[in-house]
Amino acid sequence: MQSGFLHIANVDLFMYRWMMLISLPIIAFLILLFIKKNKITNSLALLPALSILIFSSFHLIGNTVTETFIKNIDWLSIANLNINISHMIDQMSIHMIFMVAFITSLVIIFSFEYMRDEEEYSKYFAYINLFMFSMIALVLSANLFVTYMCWELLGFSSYLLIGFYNKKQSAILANKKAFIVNRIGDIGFLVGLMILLSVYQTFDYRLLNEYQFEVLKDMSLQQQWLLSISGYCFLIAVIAKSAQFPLHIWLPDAMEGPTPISALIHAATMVIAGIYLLIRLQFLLSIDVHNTMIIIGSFTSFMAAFIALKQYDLKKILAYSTISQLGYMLSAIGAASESAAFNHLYAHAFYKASLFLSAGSIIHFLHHQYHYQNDKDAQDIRNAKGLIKHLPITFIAFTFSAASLIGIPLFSGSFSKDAVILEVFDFSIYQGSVLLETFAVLNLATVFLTALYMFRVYWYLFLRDKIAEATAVAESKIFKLVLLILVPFSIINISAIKNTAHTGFVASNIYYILIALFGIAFFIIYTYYKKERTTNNFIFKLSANELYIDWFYQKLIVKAVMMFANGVKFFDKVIVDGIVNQSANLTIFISKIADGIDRYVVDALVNNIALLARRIGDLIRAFQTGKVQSYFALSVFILFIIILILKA
Amino acid sequence: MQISELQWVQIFTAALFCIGLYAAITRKNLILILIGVELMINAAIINLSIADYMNGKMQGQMMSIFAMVLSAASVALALAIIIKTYKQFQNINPDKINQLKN
Repeated sequence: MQSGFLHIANVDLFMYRWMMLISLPIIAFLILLFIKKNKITNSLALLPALSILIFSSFHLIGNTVTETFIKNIDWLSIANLNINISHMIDQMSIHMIFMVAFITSLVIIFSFEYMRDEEEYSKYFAYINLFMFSMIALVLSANLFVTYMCWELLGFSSYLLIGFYNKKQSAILANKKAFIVNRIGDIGFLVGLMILLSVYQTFDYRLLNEYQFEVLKDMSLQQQWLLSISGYCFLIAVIAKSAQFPLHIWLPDAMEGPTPISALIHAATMVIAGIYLLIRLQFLLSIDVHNTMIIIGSFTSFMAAFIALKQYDLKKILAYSTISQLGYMLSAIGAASESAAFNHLYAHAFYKASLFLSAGSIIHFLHHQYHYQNDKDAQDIRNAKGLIKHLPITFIAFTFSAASLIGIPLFSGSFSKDAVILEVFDFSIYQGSVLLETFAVLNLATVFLTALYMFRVYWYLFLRDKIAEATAVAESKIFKLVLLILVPFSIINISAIKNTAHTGFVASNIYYILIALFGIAFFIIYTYYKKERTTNNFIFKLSANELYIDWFYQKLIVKAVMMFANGVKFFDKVIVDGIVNQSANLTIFISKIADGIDRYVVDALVNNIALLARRIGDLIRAFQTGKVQSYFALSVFILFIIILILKA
Repeated sequence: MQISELQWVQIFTAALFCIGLYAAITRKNLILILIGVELMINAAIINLSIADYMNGKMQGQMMSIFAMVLSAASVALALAIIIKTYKQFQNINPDKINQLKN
């Protein structure tokens, strides 16, 4: 494959092609934002994703991207800091772009049917294109500053899409929650960025990577400490974006968005942006950060799987399973195995998209079936009936992707999950820390819980109630097409990035333990849920109420913030306003005195002078009658007086 | 107190002058005002000629005749002006003729 179209002879030309390609979604976004639904809406929405998909798949299949290509375009220059719009393509980014474009295309096609009756049809596709632009730009970015901009854009487009049903109060609350929680992470990102800037004076990934070892040697203790802090800052950003333990609360609520959006953004692509960032920044992370990542990742993954056990909302279960899988990825990065994390990310993206789109198909079906029964929630798994008969393709897709998620041997998810668990075990044994080993065992327990909750969903959806109803509508051709395309990707992981450590089916003894665990899980499900017992002991309550984390935040943090806000409000109202009001009163008093002086002294003087002039005028005016005879009489009178005076 | 002949005449002319002055001040008719003015002139002339007569000389009476002629001429002129005024304003009341005012 070293000739023809696929051979990259001219790197500049190759990179310019990419830049033209990523400008397509933003153009589509701008056009779609302002047009109503018409004939070209669909093709306009699909075109950018499809063209990027075709271009990237050629390069992926041809395996032409064997080295790292970088293109710098000067943008900003402040003092001695140059910020470039840099693009970088290596094997990992071409994989990511292919995955993003592939799932976006499928989701757009799926949405043609799913969103058909929406009023703001073209706005929906505009938002999807904005999302795709920011995601692909983030993947291509070779500069932390540009990454940060795309990171914010991702948060914004996610906000728009979660709140797409903007007449629903819960959707509005959910998108606010997602945005606010993500802001916490963004602050972490920004602080990390500033620390890197102060230590290295550059944002460029490659330069950062090169400087790392040179600078570390002659660095003061304080600077090393600062770098470690920056690693923690980026970890906070990732915890928010990839929904890890303390900040995972936004993701289950984000399921208020349309289901295809949940498949695209909140399962397959956006939430893995954090994992991707950490893979890119692995050189920055100190050993402490690594240990923290293993602890947070493993704990999140266990916790989310535990919560998923007692949920009844189909999308919420899938959201918690996403959180759980993201926890695996984080712990893999913590174990310094980026390839394992990336492979799991890649496998997860496809099977989770497939799961969510199947869920979309099921919800669509149930929604139509319960159209006249508003009391029945289409997302509640207890309401599912007769799905195998009416949705056979959905059944197949769901089966394969769920098998992949559980990690049944020979499915794509099993290999990647196996690698993650092994790497974490290796790392913790190498570190010799009992705490880390505990969390590595917790990862194994999560496998058991994953099997448990996934089989429970499966049993509720398909195995429990096979009786079909007459009013049912069949799944549409578009759904069938999309789901069938996704089925092979649940079986084979197409990632060409090799796992660095031992992988494979019989590579470890752990696998035998895992299979045994699945067996136990199936047995428990079968015996337990078949009777549909509703026990209310403490552990079930914990799971059903999502570990009371939301409740805890509401009671502690929201309340504290509100109390603080009220205190500030009181301070503002009473003290600041009081000072302002008193000074205003003082001013009024002073001006009243000035007013008195002005009115009674100055004005009086002026008025009296004027009055005097007026009186004199009046006096003189009296003589000026304009009558000849009075003048005459006056002159005679004066003549007499003169004569009298002269005579005397 | 003995009042002489001259004093009687002077009282008479003073009365005449006062009558003329009153007429000139109070009348609302230009012609009557003119008559008042003429009365005052005549009072002065009588005063002049009687004082001269008492002294036994003739120059004063000659001056009186001149003054009478001049006053007749001025009356003719004044009448002409009054007629002109009447033509202009259709009125000979001095109070109404106030074009110079304002």
